[in-house]
Amino acid sequence: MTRLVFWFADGIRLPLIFAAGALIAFMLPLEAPYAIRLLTQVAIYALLGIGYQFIFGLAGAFSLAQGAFFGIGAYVAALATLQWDWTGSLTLPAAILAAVLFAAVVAAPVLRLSTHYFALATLGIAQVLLVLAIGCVDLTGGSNGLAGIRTLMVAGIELDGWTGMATVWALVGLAGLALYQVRGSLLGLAFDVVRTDPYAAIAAGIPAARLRFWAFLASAGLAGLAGALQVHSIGVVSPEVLDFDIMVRCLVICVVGGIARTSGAIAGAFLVVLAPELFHALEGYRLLAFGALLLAAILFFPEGIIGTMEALRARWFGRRRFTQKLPTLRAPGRSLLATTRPVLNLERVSKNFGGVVALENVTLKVPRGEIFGLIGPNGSGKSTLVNVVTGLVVPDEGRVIVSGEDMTGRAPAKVAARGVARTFQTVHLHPALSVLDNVAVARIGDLPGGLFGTLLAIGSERRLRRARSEAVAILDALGLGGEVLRTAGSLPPGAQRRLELARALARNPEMVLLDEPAAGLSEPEQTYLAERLRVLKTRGLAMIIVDHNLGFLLRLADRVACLDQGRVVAIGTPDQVRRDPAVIAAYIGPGNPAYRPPEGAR
Amino acid sequence: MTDLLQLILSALSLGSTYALVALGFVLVLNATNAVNFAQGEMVVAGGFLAVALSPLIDLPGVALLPLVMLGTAALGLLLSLAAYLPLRTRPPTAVFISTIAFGIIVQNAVLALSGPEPATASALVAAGSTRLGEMAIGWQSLSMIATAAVLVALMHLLLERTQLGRRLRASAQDPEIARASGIPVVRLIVVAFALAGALAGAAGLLVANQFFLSPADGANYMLKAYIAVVIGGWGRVWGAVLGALLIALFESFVASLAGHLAADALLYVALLAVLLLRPTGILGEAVGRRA
Repeated sequence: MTRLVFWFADGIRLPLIFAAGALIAFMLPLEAPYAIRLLTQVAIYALLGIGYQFIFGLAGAFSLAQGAFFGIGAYVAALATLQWDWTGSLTLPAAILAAVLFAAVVAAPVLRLSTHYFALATLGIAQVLLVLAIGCVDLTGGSNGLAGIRTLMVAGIELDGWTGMATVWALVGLAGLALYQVRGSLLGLAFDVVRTDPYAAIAAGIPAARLRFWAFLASAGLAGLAGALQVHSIGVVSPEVLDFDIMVRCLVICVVGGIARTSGAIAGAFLVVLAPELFHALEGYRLLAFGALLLAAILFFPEGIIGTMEALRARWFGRRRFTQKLPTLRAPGRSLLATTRPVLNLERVSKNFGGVVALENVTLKVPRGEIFGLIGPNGSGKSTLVNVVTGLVVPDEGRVIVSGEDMTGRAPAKVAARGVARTFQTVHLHPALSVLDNVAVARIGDLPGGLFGTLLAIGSERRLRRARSEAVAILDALGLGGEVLRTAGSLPPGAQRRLELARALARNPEMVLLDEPAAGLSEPEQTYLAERLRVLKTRGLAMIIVDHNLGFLLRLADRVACLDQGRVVAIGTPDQVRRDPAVIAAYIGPGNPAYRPPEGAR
Repeated sequence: MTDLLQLILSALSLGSTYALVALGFVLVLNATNAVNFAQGEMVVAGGFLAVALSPLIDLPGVALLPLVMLGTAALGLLLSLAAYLPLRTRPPTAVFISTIAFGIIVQNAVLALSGPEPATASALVAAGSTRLGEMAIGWQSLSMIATAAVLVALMHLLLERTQLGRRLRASAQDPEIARASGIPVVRLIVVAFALAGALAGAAGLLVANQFFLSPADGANYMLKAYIAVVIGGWGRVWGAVLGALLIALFESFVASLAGHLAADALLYVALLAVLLLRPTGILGEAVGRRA
């Protein structure tokens, strides 16, 4: 019996029960046709909201075009019905397709914009469509819109009243399940990282642009479907479907309901449809009360309705225990020692930034299993070199060859896929995510099976379990095996550095570029890190390490290059470079005993 | 020629109201890094306050200006207390929604108090027009431009010459450092919201005579301010003013050639084109993003 109670209290079930209870209490006194109409509206808005959860909730992009996609779906369905006499089996797919196609067309220029520009651009698109709907009177009926759109008919069956409502709710169920699956999968983790820290996403090799693109299309498709269902349900279409008001409702659904959750979208949809009805008695002050309710909700329930319910549940039934079994070890990767060609080959690479020489004629070779140190004063071109290798900066001249393949001018994602991983100077982790998942998410590019597999893997996602198993193995090798369930943010700085390294290794790279890995580490932490890096080296991993801590770097590196004003002024073993007059003049400085330990002092 | 001058005059009078709204928008943006979606509703509130006051006081509209600005400044203050300060540490979308909610409240309060009909307030200085050669110059247009110019100049003095202005600019440039050097950031935020309210209220008074004002007009002004700030360079105070004037010129000229609807659509198309070609606005951002 208690188990049954706990089962109900778990996950999304309790909120759903609450919602159902409240709903029945609200609906009982209503007349059936009116109640059905309201519930259909709720379902349509839930569908719209679930769509918005993809782009806004999962991908974290503040799109203001969701209402526009709803409007496109509405007009396409209306016109197809009126002009060509299509039925629901055609209008619904047509509406989805139109919205998705439109989203795909605008995505290319718009998705690369950042935050408020993206918001305004999507708002601009919505406004253009609104003006077109008002202006193209011959096609759309202008401000008056079009009437007489018949109810939904699929495969010869008329779906109105009860059956129509059930159909829309069934679609909500399907869409909600898809969102639930994505959220609980490796993709969901990846979205979480993309939303929190774009640099962490780069470091983990997450194809952020592609994820955002798919999320944008998914949200557009569901909005188009919702729009089509709306016109079939109410029988008319007017520019109101493109109004900013729809967009506001969308935002309210997701933020007040609960961000990124299916249950949040459903709860939010109930709120936006039923709240104005509840305030019916207030007449002229109805929307005013709605605004006040909205303000109160955002002020007092920061996690939304669902988050608040979960907090309550935690208080009444205790926190959910972490039931997941610790994944078993599973070593990822391929043997790196099989071939002998150099991992990295830089040939006469030069780069200017507006007349300032960042790199000049740099030629380097890094073979397998070598730790290659890079030193030089600030502004000498070290970071540019790292950026050239990882594809963030395209050199003016010269070639970048990774494992025998010319990668000059290729996109960072392509370079990363070729086996180049990096860490950043400052720590970029997802602080709220577990140590385990910070690493597991980086396996995303290396595991088979894509979005479709995720959607179909009902209940549990194999890829996520496998990624976690492999992450444990990697973390173990770096001495983090005991910390896997802690949040990344709670680790001490030294362990965070190693966690970043673990994440880079999770991508199964042939070469890792480490930007100041020893910065801020204590002496024992540095020693431990160096020891771990030496183990990785014996497995054939090539490493380029940039660091100002010469004590750490010169003890660790096999070879060292010193850059000054973009040129390699010295290259050789640590001892050669340490004594090189050019290096002393440019970087170490004469009479700086701290950087020149006497012979045999190590 | 006279047509052209006439057009420029009406564009400038429209632009001067946009400029006031955008100026307030960018002040809040700089103080809080938040987009204030209620800024348009402040225009509506100011306009209807003017409409309500004008029959009570038998004076030209200019005399109402201080009263209206005081009223909407109080509203701006309320906005910051109710919808911004409690949400400061939350993600920016929370503030988006709270300001939208506040806007809904203001809009529907106006609607409930004065009905949905468009309204008009008394003229700023005098009704009618004067003639300059062939051209009829409306007193209202002239006085709108003059009033807005005076307000913008006053804002300039405030920002450049006073301690308050220096602090506002400092905390816009780097809030962390501003806080560290003892600038009362919270008080500045409240002041920025109040100033934004006052400027929007003034804009409301200005448009309430020349153009009809209806309670649902807020979104339009908010959007124009938003676009002006993006075009003028995110966070640039005088860029926003310039952007507002550009928008008004564009709108007036295209409208005279192709009608208002087309002007509206083409404005957004132009905005999208600007964002495509220069993803950080025509003038670039005021402060570069830090990694």
